[in-house]
Amino acid sequence: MGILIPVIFLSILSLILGIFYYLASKTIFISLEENINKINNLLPQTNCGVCGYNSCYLFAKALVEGKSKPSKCIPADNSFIHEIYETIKIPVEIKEPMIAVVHCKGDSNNSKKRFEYIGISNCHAAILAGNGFKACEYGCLGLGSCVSVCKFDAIAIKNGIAYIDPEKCTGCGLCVKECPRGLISLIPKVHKIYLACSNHDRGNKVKNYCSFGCTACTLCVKATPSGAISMIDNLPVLDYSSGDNFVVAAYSCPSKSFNDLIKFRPKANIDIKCDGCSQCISSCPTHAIYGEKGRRHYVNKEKCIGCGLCLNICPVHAIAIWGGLGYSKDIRRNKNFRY
Amino acid sequence: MVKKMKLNELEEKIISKNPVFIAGIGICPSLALTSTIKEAFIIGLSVFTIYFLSSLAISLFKKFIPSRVRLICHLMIIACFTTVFEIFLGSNSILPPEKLNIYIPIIAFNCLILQKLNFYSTQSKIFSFLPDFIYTGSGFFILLLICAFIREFLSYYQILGIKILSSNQTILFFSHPCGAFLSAGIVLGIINFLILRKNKRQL
Amino acid sequence: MKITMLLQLSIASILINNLVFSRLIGLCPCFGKNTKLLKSLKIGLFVTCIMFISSVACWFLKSYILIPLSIEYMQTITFVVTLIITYLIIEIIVYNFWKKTHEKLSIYLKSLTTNCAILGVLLINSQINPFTNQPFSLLENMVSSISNGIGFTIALLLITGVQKRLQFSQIPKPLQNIPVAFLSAGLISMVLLGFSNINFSMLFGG
Repeated sequence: MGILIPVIFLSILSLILGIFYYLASKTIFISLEENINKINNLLPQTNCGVCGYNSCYLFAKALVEGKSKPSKCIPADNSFIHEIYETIKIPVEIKEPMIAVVHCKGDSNNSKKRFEYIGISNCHAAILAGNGFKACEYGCLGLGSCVSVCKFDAIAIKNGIAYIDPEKCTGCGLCVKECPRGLISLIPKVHKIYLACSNHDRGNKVKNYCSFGCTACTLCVKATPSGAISMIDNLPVLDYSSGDNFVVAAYSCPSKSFNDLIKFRPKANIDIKCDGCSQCISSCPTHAIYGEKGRRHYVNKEKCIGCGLCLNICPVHAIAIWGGLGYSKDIRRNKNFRY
Repeated sequence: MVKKMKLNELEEKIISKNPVFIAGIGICPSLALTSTIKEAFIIGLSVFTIYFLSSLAISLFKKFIPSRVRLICHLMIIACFTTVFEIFLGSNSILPPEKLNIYIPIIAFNCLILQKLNFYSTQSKIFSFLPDFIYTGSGFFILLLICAFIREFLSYYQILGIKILSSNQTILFFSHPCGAFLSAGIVLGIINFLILRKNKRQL
Repeated sequence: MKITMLLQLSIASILINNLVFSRLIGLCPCFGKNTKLLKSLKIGLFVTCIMFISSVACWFLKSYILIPLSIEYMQTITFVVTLIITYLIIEIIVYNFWKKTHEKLSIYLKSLTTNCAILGVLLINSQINPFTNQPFSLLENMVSSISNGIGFTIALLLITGVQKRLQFSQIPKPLQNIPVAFLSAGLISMVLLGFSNINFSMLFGG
């Protein structure tokens, strides 16, 4: 008899709990929850907030209710968008993948400091102390306030400046807003060349504080006949929507201010068919071809950047590019092109 | 060679890959009872046993609990077991009532047990919780015992009631709750340091 | 006097027997990577409201159902179930009347469902009042739960403030994240140790 009372009490309590849970589930767990969970599982669970919602779960819920577009989730890649279309049949927009790059190359070996800074290791704080400790007042301080914002661990500090790993970066844009000097911007992922300097001074003054600084010599503008680079405020501005690949411009810069994300460029190779007319020597922007007139020429593989200008010019088709990137249209049609 | 490897794996499962040592989950309310080794033994053993009984109960009833009410059912099952323990320890008057009536029922909301129960209810076999339970549970027990040893030794110079050094100038604040925080911080820091050093050596 | 006893009770709950720093209950939300003071304030106030509502409900359940039927040992299960029902009622009400706040609230609710602090307060209120040596009455229950909630909020704000300062410091690698949080909380609780022998008769005069 003594055991009956607690058993009845516990059953009544559980019944009341069950009733309340049923009432709550009717108003909260709506029938679309299965779809929401399915979509939530496709999202990267980083809760970065780029889509405008606090968490990935809320973004999935908004997608199902039709209040948002899947292209707002920038860190997810394009395959995710197709899977969403399969699940809930909403229209698909393919966006161009972008990555973030830091426009500064002046690390601790190549740029000078004005004073030694001992303080809070945050870029915003370092700027308050006399506009930064670097001689170049536009450069990256390397104290890492962008590192702490990145949710994908793509930014690292190497030799005193920030470097973004293009494999891990998803182009979400949080670091773009965080950098106090505005050194980070988004470029399309297919373009591998960008300007790694943000200095608006010109001439020899720049050479005093950083060996990689852009001195506004306009050699890059002259090296691009298509006009895709223009000089604005002592810095070249690259127009990524033109079809140009900026290889020649990048390697014609005397202070090496451009960064090339491709470590191993394709190289030109001259065949035995060469008759020594030397037209390729005059067209090579990096002076990588050498040889006597009338005899077979050779390519210096260290200097060659694989731009393909010599290949277009050679009248006997003796030149082939080995290595795979294939920029110019003629390279792709060329039988000598080896992948 | 084989024995050394087995010892290495064992140490890894209990300490390096144990969420108790890495993230300090689940030790919070039980840390208050670690001022003497005897009390730490009691609370450690009770958490260990409640963990075992509730994992057993949930592994047996996995198929009957629908997934939407899973959390509520887990909470009620652990609450039943803590009630049993409360009555058992109260009748033997091992712990004073003002500690017993607060810290034992709070095991119902222990983060470690709830997370692990969630994990076990997704496994398919009935007794697959056993190896994981043994490693995690013993890691938790060891952590409580180490903290209690530090606290009791430094605050009274005694172990299990037996005075080791006969001096009255002890670091008495270790017997107060702040000592629990400090000793837990020190122990977790030292273990972190050892894990990092081992990972560096392996690289 | 009754008011002095209530004041003694509230000061004891906030300073002497602080939930986080003296009783070590409810630490879990304090040790996440939380550096926003406003968010901690919101969590603390929300927890205080739930403590108040559920402790009143539990007092009624205990004095009118558990004690007459002499099943006081069921109090743990009763408290857990009451807590869950309180959460569900709050979710239903907020969802039906204030849909905008419901979105933000649901994240807090999901993480605070298994918070030890609220269950701790319910259990403390079912013990014997140390100032009158009798079980808590309804008024004492309400005062105790609100002051425990305020103590929890203060503790959460202190720990969040310390984490905010620690963000930019160079902490050695083995001590990062959890150990340094424990050590800083230990130092704060050492400070609060100074309140442990307050002479109430000097404060309130008899």
